[in-house]
Amino acid sequence: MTDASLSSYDVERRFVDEAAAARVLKRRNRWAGIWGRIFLAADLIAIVALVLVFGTIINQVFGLVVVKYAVDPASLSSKPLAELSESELGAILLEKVPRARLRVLVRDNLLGKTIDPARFGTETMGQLAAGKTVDPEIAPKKFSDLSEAELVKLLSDNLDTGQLYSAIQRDVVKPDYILSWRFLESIFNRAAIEQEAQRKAPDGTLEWHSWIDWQFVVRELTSDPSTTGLRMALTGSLLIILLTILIALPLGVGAAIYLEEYATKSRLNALIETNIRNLAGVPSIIYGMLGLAVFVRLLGDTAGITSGRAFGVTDSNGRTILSASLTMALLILPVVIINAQEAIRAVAPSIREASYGVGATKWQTVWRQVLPAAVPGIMTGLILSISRAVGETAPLIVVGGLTFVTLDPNSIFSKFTVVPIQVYSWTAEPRPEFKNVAAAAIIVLLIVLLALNATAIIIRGRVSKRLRG
Amino acid sequence: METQQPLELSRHLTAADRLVKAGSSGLHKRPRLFEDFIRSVLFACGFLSIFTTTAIVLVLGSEALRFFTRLGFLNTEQQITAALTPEDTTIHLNGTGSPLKAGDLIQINEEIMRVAQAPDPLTLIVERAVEGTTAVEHPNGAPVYLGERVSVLEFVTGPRWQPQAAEFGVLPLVSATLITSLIAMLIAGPIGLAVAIYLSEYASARLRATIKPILELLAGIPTVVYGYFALTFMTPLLRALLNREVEIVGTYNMASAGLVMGIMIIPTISSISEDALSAVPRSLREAAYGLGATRLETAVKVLLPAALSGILAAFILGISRAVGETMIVAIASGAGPNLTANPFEAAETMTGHIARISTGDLSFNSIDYNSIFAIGLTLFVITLALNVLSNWIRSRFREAYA
Repeated sequence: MTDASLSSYDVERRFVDEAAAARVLKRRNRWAGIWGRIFLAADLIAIVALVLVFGTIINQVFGLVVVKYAVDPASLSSKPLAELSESELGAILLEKVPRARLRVLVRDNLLGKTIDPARFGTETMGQLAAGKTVDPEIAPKKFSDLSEAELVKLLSDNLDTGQLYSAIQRDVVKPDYILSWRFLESIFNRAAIEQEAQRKAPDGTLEWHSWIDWQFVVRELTSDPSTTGLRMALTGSLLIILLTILIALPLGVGAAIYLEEYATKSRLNALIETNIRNLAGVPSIIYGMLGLAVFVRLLGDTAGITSGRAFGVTDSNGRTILSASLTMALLILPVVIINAQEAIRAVAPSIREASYGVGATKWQTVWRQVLPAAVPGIMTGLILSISRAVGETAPLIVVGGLTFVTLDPNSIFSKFTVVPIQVYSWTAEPRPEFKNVAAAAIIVLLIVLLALNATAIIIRGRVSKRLRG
Repeated sequence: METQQPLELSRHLTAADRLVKAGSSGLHKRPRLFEDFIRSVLFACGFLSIFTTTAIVLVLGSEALRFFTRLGFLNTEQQITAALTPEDTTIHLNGTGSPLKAGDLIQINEEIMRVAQAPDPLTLIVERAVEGTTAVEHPNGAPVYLGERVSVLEFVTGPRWQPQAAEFGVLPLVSATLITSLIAMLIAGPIGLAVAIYLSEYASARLRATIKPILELLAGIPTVVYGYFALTFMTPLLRALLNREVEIVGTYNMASAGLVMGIMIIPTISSISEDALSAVPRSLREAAYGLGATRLETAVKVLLPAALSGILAAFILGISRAVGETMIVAIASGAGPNLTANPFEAAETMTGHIARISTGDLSFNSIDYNSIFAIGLTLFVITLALNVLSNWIRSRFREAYA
């Protein structure tokens, strides 16, 4: 049979019913389109989820509140409080704040909270407040003998308007947010809210409030949602992250260099590689437990290294910033290693070969040629790991991050808290205003993460531009 | 220049001649101690990873061992009816509480004794001062405590976790973990896979460039934020939807934690699945299209089977993430162990329990401290098994595209 007759025979047999064939094709295409839309819907679900998450946070951060002031800020001055100068703010402090409280303010802000009270009777102000601006008339006096005017003078000389403003807020105005509502409710349900405010708190003021402002970021932690702030948590997070980078970066890059440049294909090295991949998948709370047993208990309470006992620090246990940083360093180490490995692998072999060709040793090649070329990738990997570490809560809870820290962490042997732990503890509080405060803390956290990721992108762009050009 | 070169060459030749004349081997490798030192340092860095794994296993194992060998003493409600001198080996009981038998370890005040015989319910013949304690006097009426250890069987199969009542069954915690992870995978699995198929087959480049950053954003949100979202949005939503007549959904429930965990895991599954789908060679795709297949048929009948190993690995990794997740369940799922199949009840997972116990006062030799390591060991074993399985599937079932 010729080709022509074969094909015509087939065509006749198969497409005897062209209409049926067309129907089948149409149905297949239609199904493809339907499922395509279903798959698109899945993407839309992801987008909607993202919008909902951010929306919930924003919803809780702005809204109407009923606030009761101990002293109405409008009565203190004809100008808004935020625009007053230091001396004017000082005058308000002098008029409204009792002497005992002024002494506490001077002590906390100028002398240090942990200062030995016995020194108040023996040393002069010039000695106690060394390094601060002390009026020459006040310097020879003792702390216990200072008058209110002199205390206020010390405060207004040494604190800036922002700190004086927050002192007035805390000690004079004393805003108490009794009721709060969410953003969308405040817009759409205004009338009902006004009725409720009238009913529950007739002597308060109903006004718009943003739970996040600069004061919130720099205030210290208190147990009241109206006055609490994020300062301890932010310093804790910052210190821990810095120390973590210091530990994890050299170790991680060193391991990556070894695995990529020096390691032979031995079983030990294959074991190391598999190990690192498995470690990257271990839940973070397990790292916390490792940190608890090794860094807090073994090296801390028993050996005194991480608690500082071996170095003369006596008032802490193993639950210090050092333990926390070591734990976090172990946590991000696998990811740093994997990213650094890929960055080193991506360096063109020609660079290495050229370096060997001019007679460089292996380490000279690595240090002067390969590493600089791999830096953008390593930095990106590091910053991504840091982003993850900033948001980690569970391992730090287990290692001993407290939810109520009274002093700013000032050394690696201090007790600590971090922003996610604060979010956790505030979310778990029964009082509804704490949910607003938690949302404000979340926004601060997200801003920090955004800044980190933006830095990563900028660094990557700039360094690769420098290397290319 | 022509005249300089020969001069320099001759200078070198002379130096080499001198070396040869001196009888040394000539050119040899200088020992580069610094290089070796650097190499050792770098090896140590790499070895640190093995150290970490070993440390995790050792720490979890040893503390868990301490949990299982530790003696806890419960009040039997029995008291001794006569004062004891340090030499007495016969004890009389008042017979009111739980009976004691031979082989039991009992504790009176600080001393631990082993029951050698129990001839009748009111008399015990004991061996004094075991387990490192010393024999002392005991006054009349001193209460008797019975020593018990937690057996592995009780740990694994016991239905209640109440350390105060000496019940150490881990089943409620494990079941809560499984239920929340299951709910999470029911959300994340289909959606993640659908997103991956859409991005690799249907989406234009512009759409892909829009959706991928959104997925990365979702992946970058800290889990504590998701926990907040679960408590302040998902739980009220579920309650508004389902609590019509009867309160079905509690303030803390596993369902909202599970749903939000699912949202969190979507990027994990979709990115790994999409990598797997993209790794399928273009020739398979183009062959399918060439035969007249629609996009759906290509994706489902050609690409999915080809990328199956990667997709399975993605799913298992997603489950592993769900099992190890702490903050979402700690915030939204509840604070008490509860063995239930109802996802709308509150129940504590393994991770949530560890977190809650750690926020309280934790003294280093208490039963609570040891118990969290036993739970942690269970958790580690489960996630390690899942990760190893995922890697094995990826390597074993990877299609060879020759």
